[in-house]
This record gives sequence, structure tokens and C-alpha cells, in this order.
Amino acid sequence: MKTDDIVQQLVGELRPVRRLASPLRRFGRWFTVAALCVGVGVAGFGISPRLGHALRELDFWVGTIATLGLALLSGMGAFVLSVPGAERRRWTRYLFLLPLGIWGAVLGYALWHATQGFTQWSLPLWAGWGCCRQMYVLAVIPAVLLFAMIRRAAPLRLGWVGVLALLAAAALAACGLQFLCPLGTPMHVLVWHVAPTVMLGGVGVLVGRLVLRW
Amino acid sequence: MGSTAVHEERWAECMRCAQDGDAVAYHQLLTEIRPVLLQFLRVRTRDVTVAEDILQEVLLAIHRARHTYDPARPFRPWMFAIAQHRFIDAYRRRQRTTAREIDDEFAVDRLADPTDFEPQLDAGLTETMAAALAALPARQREVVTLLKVRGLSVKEVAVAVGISEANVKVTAHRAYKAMRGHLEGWADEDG
Repeated sequence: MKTDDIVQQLVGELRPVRRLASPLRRFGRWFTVAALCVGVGVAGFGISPRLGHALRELDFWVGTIATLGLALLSGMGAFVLSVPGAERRRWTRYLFLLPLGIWGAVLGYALWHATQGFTQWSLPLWAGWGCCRQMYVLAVIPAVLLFAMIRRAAPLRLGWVGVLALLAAAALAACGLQFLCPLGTPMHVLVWHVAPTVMLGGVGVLVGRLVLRW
Repeated sequence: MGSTAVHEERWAECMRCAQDGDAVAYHQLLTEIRPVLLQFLRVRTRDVTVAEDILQEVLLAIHRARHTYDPARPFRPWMFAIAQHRFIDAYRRRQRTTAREIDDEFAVDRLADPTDFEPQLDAGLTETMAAALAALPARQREVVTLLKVRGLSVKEVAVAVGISEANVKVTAHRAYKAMRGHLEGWADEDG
């Protein structure tokens, strides 16, 4: 088919379209609904009896703020990357590393301190599997919603968008998990909160390439 | 105001109108951006035929993504972002294809000489041959046209198209195979 024919065909097929809202506005809509869903999920699972004690711990607040920050930066990054030419600086897509790094560093430091007193090995490692399961359940609706919204756009970097999208959903779920988790020790959080969050984000490369192609 | 800025304003306005369904503005936009995009792709591909193929994909992508353009933002970054990624996609596809090609001069020599292909033409077959030719990918169509319609030798076609003689033979072989399949379908219908 000649290019002239394609131009004629496209002009002939032209219909009015509804312009996509700005990435910020769309992110706001997603975050509002997703946070609501996670909140309902947390209420459904039942808040941890340990929460009253956890609220007085610095680790809890660092984890909550870091996961929230991770969800915000990853989610915003995914929406920006879903519009061609909207990303003004390449380094902005790496901003999610900041809260993730802080979260990991604080936990690493706490773990190092704890191992000095050998208090981390009282529980078997697999005792935290329930947290991982709850986190993935909480992440489902935010993830599905986020991908559905991004598909309406025109993402070009499918792997990157997939990573940021799943990371955002996982981080928001991990934030909710802070209110559910009965354990909260650094080793447990590192293995059953941080690692599953990062893994789900990693899977986003494949999911993005499969689901977001247009 | 420089010409780039003038173009930028006009294209942004045309796309804004096109989003509202203005076919005249859309036609003007596509006509004006076409040579710019073609030049952009020719620099990257160094092959006019490949650039033209990718240009068609870019125009289709621009059409599908037109709802994502924000009239308050510059048009060129949006347009070139789509063009750049379509070029990268096409480049990766070509890499995957050429990685599977056998670079074996002896195997290629065992293929039938592409100039030996002489289909038995009659009136009914001619139209189908034309359809079979039109259905080929651009590169294959070009090679077959140069070999059979213009009667160039394999060496001359290689020079004209900018590929190796081995590649001309492989491309022609694939084209004939595709056309054969098309013609067999015609023969079955004809009974």
C-alpha cells in the first residue's frame, strides 16, 4: 500500500476524539480509587492488634511514608510515560528508587542492629507468607485499574511503564500491609514486604510488553 | 519567528482541529509532516524503502494516538517520540529477522536463479499476478519488479537496492514462494 493511500484512508476514517486528561489528573483519579480499594481491603482483613504499639515505632512510619512515596512516584511515572513526549527528563523515571532505597536502607540498618543482639531468628522465615499473600490480594484491583487506564493512552516504553505500574500497585498494597502486619521485624519486612514489592515490579516488564502493545 | 516555530504552531493547531474531527486540517497536517518524518527516518535507516515502510507505521500510530496529544504542549516532541519508537520497533524486528537468515553463499547458490522464474501468463493469471505482487512486502516487491519487469540482473538489482547479491536471491526466493501460494489459491478457486 502506498503512503498516499494510507493518508487518504486515515483522513477518511477521521472521527472526533475525546482528549486524554493530563497525566497528573489521571494519576489523581487512579490514586483516589486505588487507595480506597486498599483501605477497604485492609478493613476487610482486619487491622493488626499490634498497630497501637507500631504507631509509636519509627520503623512503622518510615515504612508507611516510603511505600506511599514509592506508590506516588511510580504511579505518576507510569502515567507520564504513557503519553508520547510527555517525559521531559529521562531521570524522572528513576525517582522511585529514592523511597525504595530509603526503605531498604532503614530496614538494613535496623536489621544490622538487631543481629547484634540475635533477636531476628526467633521466627521461621516462612512465617511471613501470609503477609505476601495479603499484599498481592490488595494489589490486584489497583493494578488492573492502572493498566486499564494506561491502555487508553499510547505508551511507548512498554517495559518501563509495566514496571512502574506494577510497582505503584504493589507499593500501595505494601502501605496498606503496614496496618495489617502482626510482626513488623526488619527481617520479616525485608523478606515479605520489600522483596515481593520489588518482584512484582520486575514482572511488570513482561506484563507491560504483553498487555500494553497498541 | 523561525520556520520551525511557524510549523510548530500550525501543526499543533491542525492536530487540535483534527481531534475535533476536521478532515481538511488533518489532511494538511499529514501532508506537511510526511516529508519531515521521512527525512527523520531516512537518516536513521539509510534506506528509502525501509524508511517509507516505517513512515506508514508512524502515520498509523499518530492516527491511533491522536487523542493523547495535548494542544497546550508542543507538537514536535509528541510526533517525534512516536516516530522514534516505531523506528526502534522496526529496527528490532529486522534484527530478529536477519539473525535467523542463513548467511551461506553455497546454500544461496543452490536456490533457483531468480531470473529463471517465468510464469505461464494468460489473461486471468495476469490480474492475479498483479495482486500477488501488490501483496508482497515493499522490499520483496521492489526486487521482483526490478528483476522481472525491468529485467535487471541480480548484480544490477543488488546495486540499485543497496543489498548484497545473496540477499537479492534470498529476497526473490521468498517473494516467489509467497506469490506461488497466492497463485495456488487462485488456481483452487478457478477449479
